[in-house]
Amino acid sequence: MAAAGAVVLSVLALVQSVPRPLWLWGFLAAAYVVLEYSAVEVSDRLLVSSSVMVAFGAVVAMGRDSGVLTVAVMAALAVLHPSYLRVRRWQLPVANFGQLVVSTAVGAGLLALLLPGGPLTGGHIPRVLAAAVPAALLHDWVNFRLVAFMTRRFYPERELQPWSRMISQHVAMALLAVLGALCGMAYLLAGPVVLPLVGLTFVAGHAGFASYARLRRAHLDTVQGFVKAVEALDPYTRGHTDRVVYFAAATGQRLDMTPEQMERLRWAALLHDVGKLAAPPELVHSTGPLDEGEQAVLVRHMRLVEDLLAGIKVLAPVVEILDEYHRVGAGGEGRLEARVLAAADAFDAMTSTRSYRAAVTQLQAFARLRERSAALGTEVVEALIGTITDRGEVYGSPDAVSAAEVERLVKERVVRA
Amino acid sequence: MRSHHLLRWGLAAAGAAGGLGVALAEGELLPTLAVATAFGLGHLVPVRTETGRRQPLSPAVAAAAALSLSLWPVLCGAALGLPLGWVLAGLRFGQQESADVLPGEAAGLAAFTAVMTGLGALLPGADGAWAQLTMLVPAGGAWHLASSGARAGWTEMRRRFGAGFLWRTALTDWPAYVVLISAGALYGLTRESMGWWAVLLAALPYLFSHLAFSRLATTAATYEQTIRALGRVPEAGGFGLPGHAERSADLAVAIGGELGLSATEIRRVEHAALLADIGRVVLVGSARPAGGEGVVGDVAEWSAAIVAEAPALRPVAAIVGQSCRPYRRPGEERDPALTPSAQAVKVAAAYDNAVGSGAAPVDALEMLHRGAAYDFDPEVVAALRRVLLRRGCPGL
Repeated sequence: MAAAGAVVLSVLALVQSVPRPLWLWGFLAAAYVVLEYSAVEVSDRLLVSSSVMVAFGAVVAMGRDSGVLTVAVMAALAVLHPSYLRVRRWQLPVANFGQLVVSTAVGAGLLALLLPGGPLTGGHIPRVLAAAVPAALLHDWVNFRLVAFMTRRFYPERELQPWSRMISQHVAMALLAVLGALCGMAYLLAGPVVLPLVGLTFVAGHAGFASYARLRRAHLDTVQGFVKAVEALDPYTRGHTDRVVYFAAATGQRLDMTPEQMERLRWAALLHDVGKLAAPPELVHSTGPLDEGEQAVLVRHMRLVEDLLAGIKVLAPVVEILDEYHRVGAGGEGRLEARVLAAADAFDAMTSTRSYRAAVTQLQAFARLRERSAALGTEVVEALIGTITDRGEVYGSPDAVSAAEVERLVKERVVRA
Repeated sequence: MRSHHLLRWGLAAAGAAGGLGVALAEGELLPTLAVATAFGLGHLVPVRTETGRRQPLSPAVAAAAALSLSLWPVLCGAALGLPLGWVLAGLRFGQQESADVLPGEAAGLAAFTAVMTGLGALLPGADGAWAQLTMLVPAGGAWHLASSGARAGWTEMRRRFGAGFLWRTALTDWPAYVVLISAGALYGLTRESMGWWAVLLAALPYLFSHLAFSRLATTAATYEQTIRALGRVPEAGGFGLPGHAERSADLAVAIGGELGLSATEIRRVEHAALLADIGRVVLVGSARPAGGEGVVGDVAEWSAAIVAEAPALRPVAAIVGQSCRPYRRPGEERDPALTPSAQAVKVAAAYDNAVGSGAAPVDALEMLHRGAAYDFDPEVVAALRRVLLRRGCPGL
């Protein structure tokens, strides 16, 4: 990969002229390097690096004769990230060098080919903008193929989304490329005064997206912190929420849920027990299984907290799922997310030791889940079982003898209590 | 309240009539109407600031018009467009939300025009692109300062919070002004060479920022709502006074404003006051008494421990943890490690607990004064008194 990058760079050095003016090249190269490693999350899990905007702007501003070399050298400079130096990961920058130089040179090359010959004027703007779109898509595609190649080689366990399903990514890339090309034209027609203005507007937006990502993280951390507080009320349920989130997400993935469904499912799994914060302590700390009446009281108190959360616009659909999850738990009906959550919760409850009973074996838990297929849905139960089996994971007591021994110890403890 | 309302309408009508009259007299009707339309429509697609406020696009329109038109169409267009925008914003977002928009925008525009005109007179030969761009920097800053000041002085919130606090909070919205002035300048400086493509050039980076600010504001609001909801959990479980967290937070914010705390610190104070009692759920869960003198420290300690589980809330956890400590102990000077933020939370919670238990506001304040020797910082109690006086608390 690195050799391919070096060859591309050498060929470009032979056929293209040195970028002029040098100060502009320096300015754009600095912007490219910074943006290449400052991808921002513009919406849920859609990460966008704005370096393509700088690259395409540079091709237009520098012209056909030196534009491709200009951006290829910028890409070559961007390979060394401080974090690589800190942990001395030399393999990654070497591979990145080839990936960045080749994909950037291919995209920039197509744009340069499609640019009109001679000095660019205001009348060329539509053609330049139109040329930026296929060039951006080609850059995006080559980049994806190279990243996929390296990922399969170095991280074979990672799953990659196919290129054809990353529509929002392509739209974002094309828009950034068009903006870059337009900025390049503005530089040629109005002079360098446009650079600080575009830069300021863009940096402010970039900082806004970075703050948005930080705040999303803080929001999630805050809710997780309170979930830990719930779990602190009962040592037997420690880690329960994390496991339910894990089982639910794995099952949802196997059922091919949409990203929106997955997001709601994760939040619902995270919040499914937070209502216990307001529940009567004697129920939360019960040393025996709850009877129907106690279960109803517990659910009523949990719903008080869920009602508070329902007032938050973003969480309202999640609370609807929680409502249906309680219904599914009582044998009623519910949408797919609620049934997946109920199955994940039931599986973890069965395979964990509680104050009043021991964990059952995984096979016993599977059997009991299958008995509840009517309420949970056969496809949900089989997806959960299939996911755990395929991953080779084992939960609960290792065998029936151990389960019986733990059961005996638990009963002794209850009698002593 | 009613006189404020009439004053606003009167000023708006007078401004619009004046703007139209001057435009007709100067023969600049068409450009004036174009600028007025831009000002008006700019109120319908405002940019959201992190504090959740809707900032109209007026600074962008002013910057673009100032760089591409003469003075009269800009002034007349603003005089006509700002009242129009205010009415449109009122219709779209509600009167309550748009109440302080007009004075803010009018003051901002006045300051902007004054600086641009003043600099233009001082530097008569400075008409190049870079010179104009340089003049926009102080002019944009003047808009921000004047607009924030006018909104802080005019808003109904003045009855609840001090003007200084409101102004400091408003000043944190500066990134929106940077984006708007830059986008406007980009259009103004490229219009001649790029024609209508200049609109796209200014709009695309602006839209990127607009999307970022809008996402940020929505997430910030969700985060606030989540903390408020979690703060009400002890009440929902019957472990605390109904509404105590909300009322304490409101008072603590006002006290923090009186003490001159920064906007960031005041947000922490608010969160700390909201979450100060969350530890009760653990204490009740461990079958320990949830009230009384002896457990106040335990509640704060547990609350701080729970809040600290979220890395982003660790500064808040520190305030919660300190909020049970006396401001000084017998025979000792004031504890230098004790922050005013923690004292604000402590005083607000103690006052609300006293009032919630049936004490009259004046008696609750008296109780805090009695504790001023050791428990409650006298400066913080005095700040609370000023807040209560401003709010017209009976008996004070």
